Amino acid sequence: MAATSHGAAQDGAPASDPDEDPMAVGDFVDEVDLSEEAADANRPRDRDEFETSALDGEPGEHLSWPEEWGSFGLLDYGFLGGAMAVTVATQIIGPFENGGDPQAGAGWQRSSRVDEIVRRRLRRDDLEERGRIRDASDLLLSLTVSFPFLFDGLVSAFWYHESPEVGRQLTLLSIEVQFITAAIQSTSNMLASRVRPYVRDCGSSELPEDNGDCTGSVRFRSFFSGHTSQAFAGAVTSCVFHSKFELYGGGSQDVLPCIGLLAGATAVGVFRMMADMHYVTDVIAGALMGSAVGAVVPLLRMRNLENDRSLSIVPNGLGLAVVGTL
Amino acid sequence: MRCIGTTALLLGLFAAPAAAQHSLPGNFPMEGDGPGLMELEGAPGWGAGTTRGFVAGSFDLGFLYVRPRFSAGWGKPHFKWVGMDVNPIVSPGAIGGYAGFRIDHPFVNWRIGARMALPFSRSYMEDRPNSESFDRTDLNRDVDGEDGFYVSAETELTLNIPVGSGVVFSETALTHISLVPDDVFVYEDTIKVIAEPPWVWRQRLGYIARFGETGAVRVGLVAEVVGVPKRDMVVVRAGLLLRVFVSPRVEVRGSWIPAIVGRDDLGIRGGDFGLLGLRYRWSTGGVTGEQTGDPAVLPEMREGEESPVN
Repeated sequence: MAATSHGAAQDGAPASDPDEDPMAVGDFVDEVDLSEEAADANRPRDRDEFETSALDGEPGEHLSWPEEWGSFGLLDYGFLGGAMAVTVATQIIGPFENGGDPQAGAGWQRSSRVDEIVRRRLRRDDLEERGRIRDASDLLLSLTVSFPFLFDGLVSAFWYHESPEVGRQLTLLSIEVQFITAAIQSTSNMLASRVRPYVRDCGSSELPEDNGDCTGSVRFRSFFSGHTSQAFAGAVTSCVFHSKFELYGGGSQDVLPCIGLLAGATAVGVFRMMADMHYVTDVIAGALMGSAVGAVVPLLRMRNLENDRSLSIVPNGLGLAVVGTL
Repeated sequence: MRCIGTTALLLGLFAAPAAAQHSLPGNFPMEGDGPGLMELEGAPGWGAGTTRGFVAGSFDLGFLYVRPRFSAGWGKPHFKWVGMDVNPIVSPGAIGGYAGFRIDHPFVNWRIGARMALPFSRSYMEDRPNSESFDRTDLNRDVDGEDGFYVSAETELTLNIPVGSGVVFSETALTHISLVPDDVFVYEDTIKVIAEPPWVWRQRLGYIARFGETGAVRVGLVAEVVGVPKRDMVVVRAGLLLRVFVSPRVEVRGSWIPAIVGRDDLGIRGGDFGLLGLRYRWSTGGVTGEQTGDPAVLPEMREGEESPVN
């Protein structure tokens, strides 16, 4: 059920003298009327400071952030800060096996039968082709990660629907999702130190040993796929947003972006296998983890906190247990 | 917006550990300083400001990159001014910076300055005859154990000419690369080309159309030619630009300008891929300059209304 919407606030804007600056090419505003009347007429209401109007000159339906959902608050910033700290720390530390030689057995080397079968079927033989596929996965990743906060949060909610509070909340939530996903994935990389599938080709005529892919810590970061986890996190977050708000007008217009982003995230995972950067188990684990974070974090926020939240300490055998609904 | 801007800045710095692992080029985004495209027509609302001395900043934030730029000068920030720019370069793959002088005007933008780049995940490139090329795997090779440090002197002139509902623009750039050993090439991070020093030039031409009543959505077509004289090489690129002005302070941006003709095949590192990102602008005195009363508000421009007022 989408959150309720109502008519957009229409901030008045009295006319002023035309801009006298001949050099102001195509700018929105080139001169300022600082009179008190003008300031009064244009004082912000429920909108944020400085906004431009929607594409067609009329704003979309105003969106409301239900009070019972609460706002992005101290706890969220704590999570966000913690996730950032973990992400940075694990990146600096790097995989535990880094420095070892994978050819000599360093790192998690085992792969399942399924891993090998899928690799044989999907892996491209040509290094150049694998490079192009890696590029494509990077571009798709950028789109799927950016979409919830750039297009859902800022362009649609904040700008088109002129609903700064909804835009703010969606943007911050999607950023929180990405950092939590990154923290989990980076920690997993550090602990697992799984060797990427292409490493077995290092030293060949095709992939020289002095290639950065064969010498850096990147070779131990196979499990799980960060590209896939973050792409799915972005896609699922966007799907949750569209299920709660009619960001693009409702109906199929809000379903299609969700389907498109999920397809994009799936393609990212497949591309990572075609480029020989991950095994299928890395990709599946990444997709599951990213989807879970992308769904749970926004859904925890978008529910009635007053009615749903509970925390109890209850006897449990010889000890105590904390039971709660968040 | 402030909290969003700050958090997004951190997102750009630290997010996506997976992508940081060599999958993405070290110095995303691929755009150079690019005042022509980045500052085309100035940002909405900033032209309303009072002429003053100011310190301003713009922060390009996106997936795995952050590009802050600090400016100090006289005029209307982000619109029409004269002063200095400083850009620290912070990315998972490099550190460095740019400092220079800029004259910014809605019709003309000119800058001159020096850039230093110290990539720590990419070395110099091996010297090859002009008959040979480079590919994306060469960018990952450790040629001589030295990071690909260089210093460049740059100048760039941008002209904007209103045509129809949009703007035709021309951007001419000239770069002189130095402090590179004699027997190697270097990947030039701003123009995105493997260069044999000292000279690299670029000529970009494009048209940006504005959509909607306020022109807040802008889509552009762009083509450019890049030359590396000592390699006897020319690269042609063409692609799309997207700008959505969410507010005078916040802009959603994207650029996809791949190389379509050229000897080297560097993939996305051989093109101008700003990808999707956010630009947040700031200045002392705010969008409209120092106010004596209530904070001024930029109203929407709606059909039937005159020019917006403050």
